Amino acid sequence: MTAFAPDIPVITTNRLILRAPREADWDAMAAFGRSDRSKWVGGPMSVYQSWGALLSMLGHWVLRGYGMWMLEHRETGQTAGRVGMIFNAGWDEPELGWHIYEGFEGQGLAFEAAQAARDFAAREQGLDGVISYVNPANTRSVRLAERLGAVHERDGTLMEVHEVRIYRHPTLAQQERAA
Amino acid sequence: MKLPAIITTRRLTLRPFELRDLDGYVAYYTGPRTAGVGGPKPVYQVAERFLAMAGQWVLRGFGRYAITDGGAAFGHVGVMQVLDTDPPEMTWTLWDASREGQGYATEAARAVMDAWAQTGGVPLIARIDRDNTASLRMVERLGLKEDIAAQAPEFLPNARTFLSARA
Repeated sequence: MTAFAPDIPVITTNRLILRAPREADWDAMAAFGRSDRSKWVGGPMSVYQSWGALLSMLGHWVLRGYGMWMLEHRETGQTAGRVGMIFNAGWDEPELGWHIYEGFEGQGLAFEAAQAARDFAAREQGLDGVISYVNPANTRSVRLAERLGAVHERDGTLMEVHEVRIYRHPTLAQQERAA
Repeated sequence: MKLPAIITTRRLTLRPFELRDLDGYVAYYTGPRTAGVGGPKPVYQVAERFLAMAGQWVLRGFGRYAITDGGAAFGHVGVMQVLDTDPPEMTWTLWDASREGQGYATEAARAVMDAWAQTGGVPLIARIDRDNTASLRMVERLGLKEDIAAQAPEFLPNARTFLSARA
């Protein structure tokens, strides 16, 4: 019965486990929603909006067969953020997105997670050479997109924010040629 | 799981949401029919709500169904619960005005409430905007009783609250 139990794969990296959301992630997710850190992804959010974000993350896997993973920090077991593919109404195409929670930034965890998620999406989910929407004022995300080898392809509109940059990630083949 | 995946009534199939239902939901929630439930909303928020309806089933084992008569959905019906401390809430909406006045919402809601009762679920509440005369009439048909003391939630400040007969 896939409608009730989406098959969300587990990916392990050096420092992170990418996995399905659990009840135990809820406090960290709600704290992120309340905080100013969520301003780049539609926040700050009420507790009801954060709960909606958790449910919609699960519903995305149910209806599209891919989506975002929670990031579990292996050393501490804490919830460090989320990363993965988003394809919602208003999106031009599936997007690689990332949110890192307070206390876990500045360590390259978003890079590590985004690389793993991008690779899995390309190899297993047929999503190769995807885009990322980045608000140019979010300089940390701009730097991360560039570090991932994505290039500023064009500008667009997302969630009623105008002039969001659309970065294009390299395909697997392009990454191999560059290596 | 507390509710079955599919419920069949005399005229309707209540089933899990599918992507083909999204357009109808977006048309509904970006339009004027949602004034009593906090809308209209921008498309990206509507799409999130749609996914969230599908996602609640994963965590809670119950949720909202697509109301269909074979094709894409023309409404949703079922049980919503946001926080663990909130009571489960019976909800129903016809997305398409042309489907009103034929008893579809009542038929769907009654079937879900029967299924919920069969699983031994706790009493349900329903919150209806004071100006939503169609749903207020349905409340009587469904045998719900008003909870005069209940406070309206912040997301629906003009609501009256009702309790299922098992309360």
